[in-house]
Amino acid sequence: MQTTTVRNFFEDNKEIFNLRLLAGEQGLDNPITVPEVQRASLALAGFFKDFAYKRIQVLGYCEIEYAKSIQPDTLQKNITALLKTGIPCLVITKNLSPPEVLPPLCDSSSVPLLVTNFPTVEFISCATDYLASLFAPTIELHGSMVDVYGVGILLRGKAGIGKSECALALVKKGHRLIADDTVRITRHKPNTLIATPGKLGGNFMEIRGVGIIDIEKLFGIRAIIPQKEIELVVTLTPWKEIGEKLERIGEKYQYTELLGVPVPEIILPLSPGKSISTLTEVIAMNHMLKTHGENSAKEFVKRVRQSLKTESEQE
Amino acid sequence: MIEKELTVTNELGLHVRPAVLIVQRSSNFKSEIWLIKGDKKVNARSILNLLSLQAPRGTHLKIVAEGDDEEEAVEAICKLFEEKFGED
Repeated sequence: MQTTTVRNFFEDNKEIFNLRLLAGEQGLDNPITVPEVQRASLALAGFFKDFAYKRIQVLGYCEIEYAKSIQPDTLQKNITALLKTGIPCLVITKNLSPPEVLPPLCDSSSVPLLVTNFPTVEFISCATDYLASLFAPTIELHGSMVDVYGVGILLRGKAGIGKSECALALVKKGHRLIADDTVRITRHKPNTLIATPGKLGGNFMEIRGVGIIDIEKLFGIRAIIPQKEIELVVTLTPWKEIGEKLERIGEKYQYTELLGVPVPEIILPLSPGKSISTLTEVIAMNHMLKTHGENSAKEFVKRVRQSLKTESEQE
Repeated sequence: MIEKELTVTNELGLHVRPAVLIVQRSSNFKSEIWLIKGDKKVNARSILNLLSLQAPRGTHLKIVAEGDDEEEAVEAICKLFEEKFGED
């Protein structure tokens, strides 16, 4: 299961949220195991049934005002109970001042107390976004990811079949490379797949017989792009292995699944003399036509039927 | 070389889907295969060629095959026509 720590959350967002650490430094390595953030209102009032203690807890204007309004010993009791539940950390928003008893209790129970200048709702929304992308399901797979006329295409196929060479030809034609060889795919809610390069970055490419080349140095900044949504999968396949799977009309897409998300897949047969990069450009343009409501194949099928009907009426 | 008479019997005639089936079936054989309507002779491995025959229901066609497996090829394609391409 994906987890992070309060320290990572703090370090990654320090500048964005203007976060300051007020107390509870010993708890910085507390784990954050769910991508969720909530206000600690009910807990502050002493109600702990079904309390989601794994979430980051937020104290906003209402909570701080509430704390001021109750008896100090009740407040102390409720805060002590809250800190014992195992929450990862507490965040005070709008640069508000914590109740006096809070920082020492955070120190003694090792729960970091953070302060941000963000308003509560904005903090919750931004922090949830940050955690959601961190906790999003991810896979790494073998392939090349390119942006062709703005359409994100994942090239797949066996090792040595020519994915990198196709991506290289596309870059030469003015398109952009996201990643070669290792493509990292993250599923963002609800059904968006984002491709990014693996750890080594997306600039390098291995071309058999040439070696490792640096796409950014060779073609300039226009040739690379750090991330892109996957809209299509193009699978390069030897002609012999395709058989009856070969699509001839293309009225409807076939689909493949990545991280549980269905993605249109085009199985492209390879044979000598074919320009796979040109075909990939055409696939991208045809996809744009389809998403624009123009299905050439469907139109053609309709026209054939009409013409057969006319023919048979004439006889 | 062998040849055989055929009739299009399915409701919609030789439209796109049957053409795809004929092309796929033909690809399983090595022989050259043609379909003929009147004076028009087309390659059975080309969808657009097949469709250019303009063959609605009731059209009489001729199939011609030439090669090592010509008999099997003709038989397989005729079967598709007899089965009305799985339609109707």
